[in-house]
Amino acid sequence: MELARIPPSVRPHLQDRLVRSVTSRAKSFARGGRMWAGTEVYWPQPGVADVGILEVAAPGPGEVLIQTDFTAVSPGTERAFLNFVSGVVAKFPLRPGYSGAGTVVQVGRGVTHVGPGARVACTETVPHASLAVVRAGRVFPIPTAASAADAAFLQLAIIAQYGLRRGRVGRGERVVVVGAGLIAQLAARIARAWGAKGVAVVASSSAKRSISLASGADQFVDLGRDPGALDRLRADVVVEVTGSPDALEAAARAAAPEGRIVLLGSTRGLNRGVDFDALLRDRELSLVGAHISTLTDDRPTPEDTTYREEAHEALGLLVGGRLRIDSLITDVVNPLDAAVFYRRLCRGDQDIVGALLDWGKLDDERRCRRSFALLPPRDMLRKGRAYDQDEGPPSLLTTPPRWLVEGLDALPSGGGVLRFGLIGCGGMGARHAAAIRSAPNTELVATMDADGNLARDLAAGAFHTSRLEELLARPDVDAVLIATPNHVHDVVGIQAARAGKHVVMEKPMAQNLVRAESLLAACRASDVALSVGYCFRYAPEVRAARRIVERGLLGRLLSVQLTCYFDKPPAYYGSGRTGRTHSDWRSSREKSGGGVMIMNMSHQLDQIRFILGQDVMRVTSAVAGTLDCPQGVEVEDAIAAQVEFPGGAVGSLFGTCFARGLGNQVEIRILGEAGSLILDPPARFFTLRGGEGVSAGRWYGFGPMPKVDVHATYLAWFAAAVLEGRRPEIAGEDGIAVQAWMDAIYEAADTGRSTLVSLPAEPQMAASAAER
Amino acid sequence: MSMKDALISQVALGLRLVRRMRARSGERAAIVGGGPLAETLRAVLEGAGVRVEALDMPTSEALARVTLVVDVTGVPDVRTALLEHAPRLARVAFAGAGAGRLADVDFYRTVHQRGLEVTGLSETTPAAADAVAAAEWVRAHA
Repeated sequence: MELARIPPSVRPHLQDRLVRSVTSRAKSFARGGRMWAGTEVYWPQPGVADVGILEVAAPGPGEVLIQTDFTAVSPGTERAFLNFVSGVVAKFPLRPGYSGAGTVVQVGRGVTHVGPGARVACTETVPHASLAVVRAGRVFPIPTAASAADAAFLQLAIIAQYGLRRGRVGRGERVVVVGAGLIAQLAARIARAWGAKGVAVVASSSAKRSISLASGADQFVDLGRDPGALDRLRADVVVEVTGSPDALEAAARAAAPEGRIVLLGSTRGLNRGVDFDALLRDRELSLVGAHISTLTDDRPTPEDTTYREEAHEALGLLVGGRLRIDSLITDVVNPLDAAVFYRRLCRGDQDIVGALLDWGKLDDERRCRRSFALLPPRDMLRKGRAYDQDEGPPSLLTTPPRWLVEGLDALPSGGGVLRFGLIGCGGMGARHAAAIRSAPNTELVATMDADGNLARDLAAGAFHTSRLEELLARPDVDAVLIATPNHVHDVVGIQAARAGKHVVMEKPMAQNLVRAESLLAACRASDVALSVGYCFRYAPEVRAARRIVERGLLGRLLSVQLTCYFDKPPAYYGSGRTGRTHSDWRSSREKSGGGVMIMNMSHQLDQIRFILGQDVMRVTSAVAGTLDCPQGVEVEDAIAAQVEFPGGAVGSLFGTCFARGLGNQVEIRILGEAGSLILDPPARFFTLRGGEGVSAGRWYGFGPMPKVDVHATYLAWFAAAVLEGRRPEIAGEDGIAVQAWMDAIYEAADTGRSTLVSLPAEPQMAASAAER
Repeated sequence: MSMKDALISQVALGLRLVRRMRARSGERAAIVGGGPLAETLRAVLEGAGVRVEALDMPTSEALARVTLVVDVTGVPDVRTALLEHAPRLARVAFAGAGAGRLADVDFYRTVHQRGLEVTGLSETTPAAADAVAAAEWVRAHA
């Protein structure tokens, strides 16, 4: 491939992958050709976290391969690096990480202190990944009484402990920690465990008061409330953990004469015009740098400790609860949610103190598998594209994963035929007749319409009648499809149910909820199947959308936007779409139940329910009537509703049937914390969640969707369910739910009040048969 | 202040230097700057077994093998150079009165990352106990 054709933003990413792939392969050839593959978090560019495949060569001499249970996040440092703040030196792509805990998988030559299966904590070179190759000197057995989650913080505990060591904190000394983040909290807790007296945590707000006092500090000082408190602290040792250049003076004020100030936070930025006499000399203070890189396996002076000693001491503190870390853990993150977590971190979410990536949440395949040195995993070669927040959806959408498109046009495979009688032979009736004839397991055996000519038109030689009783009396009719005007749906449906016929009801189920409920009750009483014709659930895009939501790729749902443009012909209120007969029920609120929402948008309302698996909880709305159609139309032509979902999401549902010059267009957009799903063409989705065969930070197209006759497919699945004695996928309960949404929306428009949706508690959305 | 008082307070400072900097017998120290205070501190350090060399300007070569550095000049450029060039984990004492502020200090790169320990020591009237110890030291080394 020509280099020039690779977008510049992608080049470092590809180069990084290539270099790593080649290096680990070369290593693995030298070690017998075996490799391991797992999952890692990496940062392709500032502000972005992604999940990818990690390949490592088998451990070499003096190395240990560990399958991690947890890796610990250092919020302050990782935030600074991910945001690439000034003072940070880093080259992206970056692989963050400090320490973790897990199980030894394999040891290299010369490693004797741990063996496969050992529970260990490991530090120094441990990335946020399900696998880590660590040199043996940084692998420490976890004491039996300590938890892996606590031990995963080992490196951070050592950092805090080393700060106290450098400050030579002694038993009975007063220790003040400036800062309230993770390292500060660990320092306060370890100081207590060491026997320091009157440990105080100093912060600029009270946000971390309770976590500080939980099991670490004896005192919490909020400088925002009590700026003078510093001068009263008179500490033997002040541990500065904020890393802010300005905090140094505050730290000095908190120290008693001859006190020691430990610089444990990495100072980001320069201190201007420093007066060392005022800072240190006047009160003979010491300023002690404590950076973990100066703690090594050597002992520079007799008073110094080695890394190993610090590690063993820190792990020892975890036993018997002398150092409690669990109460500092605010977040246990599924690594597949890393993108969402790191965006929170980037934005400066102060609720994050102790965070762990929980690698046990991954399945075995993703977590640790043997790999071959010859070929990289196939999914590693997939075309990648780094996410740039400033770019809109790219013109070239990434090809969707197979699970999104597989089997979207599936038809039932069971035997048997369900014989239908069609009731109502108007415009929709004609379409249903064709669908019954084209579905593989349904047959049209009779038609009925009060206008006998319409019934004869559609019968095409089969039995036809203008009398309902005649059709219902026929033993060869197993089920009826009712496509009458809305106001007789319930009447006809109830009669059919009593005659023992299964019922497929054209949507809406009835003109209001009360009538819909009486129809459902009648069908239950007669033990016949009932389905409401929300057949667009079988549209491939809709099914694909549900799969995306079900797999959690959008994360927590935040908002839904539905916009429906319909442009109806002038004849609509007088003679229906086809004009085959005179009819005026559509313009009557009593007969139709309403206008564009109940007549048209109800399909989209059902699609939203289906995609989200949620029902609306509360609504407000307003309607507008026809302006250019004076002949007494009572129903709305435009409607705007705001809705709330029980999970906290909001929706805006808008529809009009006078979208002049726009034709028929429907837009459904579903936005979640982790991604966006757009159903107007080109249908596409974006996710910050890796896994499920997709990479974080990309727009995926839906690809070419199969052509599906939704009416015939719907009838085929209904027939299959009835023939196999199952509840149909789109059941009467679904019709009721949509009706409940619509009743609430109409009521809210009538009353001008926020209105609760009255949903029966019982119906659960049936598992989709077509998805099996 | 009499000559004797001055000597006592300088010796007291030296003794505090030994204590606060945890000066060890056999370690190498550098004193930057000259004058009576430098001479006194040198004598006190040598009395504690420290091998002392005098420096005019602290360069990284000159400081490479010392673990203890004492500045008596108080000159901002010297202090800056000490922070820049003192070796990893060195202990640095600012014992001379400052002659101005330091322009920009990168505490991350100098003190934090290299593990310096910087202590300010001031030649003031010593506390009674220190003065007694200093007088004893002067007697012993007269």
